[in-house]
Amino acid sequence: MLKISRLSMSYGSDSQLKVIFRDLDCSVEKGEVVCLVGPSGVGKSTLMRCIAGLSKPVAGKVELDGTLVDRPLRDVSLVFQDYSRSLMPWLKVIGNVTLPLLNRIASKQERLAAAHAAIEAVGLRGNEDKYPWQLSGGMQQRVAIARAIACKPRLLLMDEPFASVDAQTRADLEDLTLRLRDQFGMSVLVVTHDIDESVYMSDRVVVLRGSPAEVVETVDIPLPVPRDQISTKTEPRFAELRAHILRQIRGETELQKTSGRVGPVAGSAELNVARASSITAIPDQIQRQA
Amino acid sequence: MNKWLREIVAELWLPCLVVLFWWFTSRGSQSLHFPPLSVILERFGQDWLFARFWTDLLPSLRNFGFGLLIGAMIGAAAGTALGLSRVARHVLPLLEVMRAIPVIALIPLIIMMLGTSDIEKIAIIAFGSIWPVLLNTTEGVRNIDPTLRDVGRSLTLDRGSVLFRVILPAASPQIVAGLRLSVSIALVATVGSELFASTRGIGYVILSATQGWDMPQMWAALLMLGIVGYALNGLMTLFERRALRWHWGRAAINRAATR
Repeated sequence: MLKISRLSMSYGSDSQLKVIFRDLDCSVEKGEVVCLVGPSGVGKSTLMRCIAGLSKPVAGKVELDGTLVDRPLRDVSLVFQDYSRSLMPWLKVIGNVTLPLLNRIASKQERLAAAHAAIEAVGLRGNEDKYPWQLSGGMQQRVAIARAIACKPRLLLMDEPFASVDAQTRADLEDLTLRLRDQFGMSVLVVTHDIDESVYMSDRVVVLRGSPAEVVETVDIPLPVPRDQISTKTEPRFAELRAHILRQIRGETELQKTSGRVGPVAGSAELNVARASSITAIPDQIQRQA
Repeated sequence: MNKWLREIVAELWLPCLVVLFWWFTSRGSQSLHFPPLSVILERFGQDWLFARFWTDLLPSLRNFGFGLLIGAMIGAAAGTALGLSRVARHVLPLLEVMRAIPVIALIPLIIMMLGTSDIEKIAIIAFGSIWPVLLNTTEGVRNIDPTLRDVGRSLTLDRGSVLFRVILPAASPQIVAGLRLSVSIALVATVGSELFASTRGIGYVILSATQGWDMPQMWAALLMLGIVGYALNGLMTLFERRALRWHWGRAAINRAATR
């Protein structure tokens, strides 16, 4: 389905050259949930932009069922990290969700029906005529998810989608995403720095590390489905998998001088909203040198 | 209804008081420059409610409307194009200079070029109204959150939709702020255009009344201008409240959240 082969990205040139990642390979099969997990500065967001067709990689390619992704495709939807910036504040919920359908569905009636179905699917029925900024953070991200699934994409990309909501909302949104995957049969690729989240949601986890970033390992997650916030997370295998992935990420960062500490860091803004128990790499703060 | 009434009272009690004060202090005034208010109001009724309404007020308002419309449209279109292009940074200082030239100073030149007609007056008003809208639109478009553009692209909207459904709405608070400035400049330009080589309009009435020492008529015309300006400002506020309800609503919520 989605195939990423030998993808490389760098900024600048000559002495200023900064290679973000090099020769990345990764794939997502139909109906699969795959998480890309890695510490801050590893270039996850840049990678996501390349996969979404928003940035051109310097080498390698991204293909969706054999079609080269060199610009945003209609079959792919992207959920941005910051809902407060990605939703149109001048449009009500229904307007936001209808926006991507305008040049896809000609009949207004069908457009509205599709938008209502998406709003229903994310559990926001009754909020159609509110503005996004009148809703809580979690609800706003639900609007963003509804907008992304309204056009029935084959692939849903999510860039740190739950990084700015509280822990309970985060758990709800993780479950919502898994439920939508079952309901719509789409593939999902999530970029996250939260190891718990990646293990909980994924069929496979792709571990990134280093500078330039490389795929260290692709870990299959053979936890039973459907996942459950309590029973899945108390399984011994869950703990083993998250420990394994953390070791993979640490292995490199201990050698690295520049990228700093890993693990829960007191005072980090994003960690204040993350679960206290969660093992978290330093939040993503890509140094964009564009 | 009660709320409306209260708002109107809150808005108008002071002006009413001032008018009353003016009325009593100017009673029986023999001054050439400051005739009694009763005389002015009588003249106001004659001129602006009847005789000059069609011949002077409407032409002024029509020129104002066309000039502002043309200027604002040129300003918004050019500002959008400029905001989207890379040359904006280099052109902006030049545009600031253009804006800094008082439009009144250009009236003789425009009369030389276009003669003395309504076209000439509309051109003057339009020229004055372009700049605030243009500069604000440029800034507004340039400063759009890049995330919104990415969203537009990732939703695979076509260029027209990105422009009209993402970029312009996102820049609209700044565009409207520019429009507000343009409205006041357009009013100045309207009166100014009628002070030179003109045969009608509020500005012309003021000029000819002063030249004929007909002070009540001049005061009545000034009063009319004040009312027109106030009404235009009110209309603009209403328009802003409707068009930018989302903007103010969001700002209020953000303020409450950070308090």
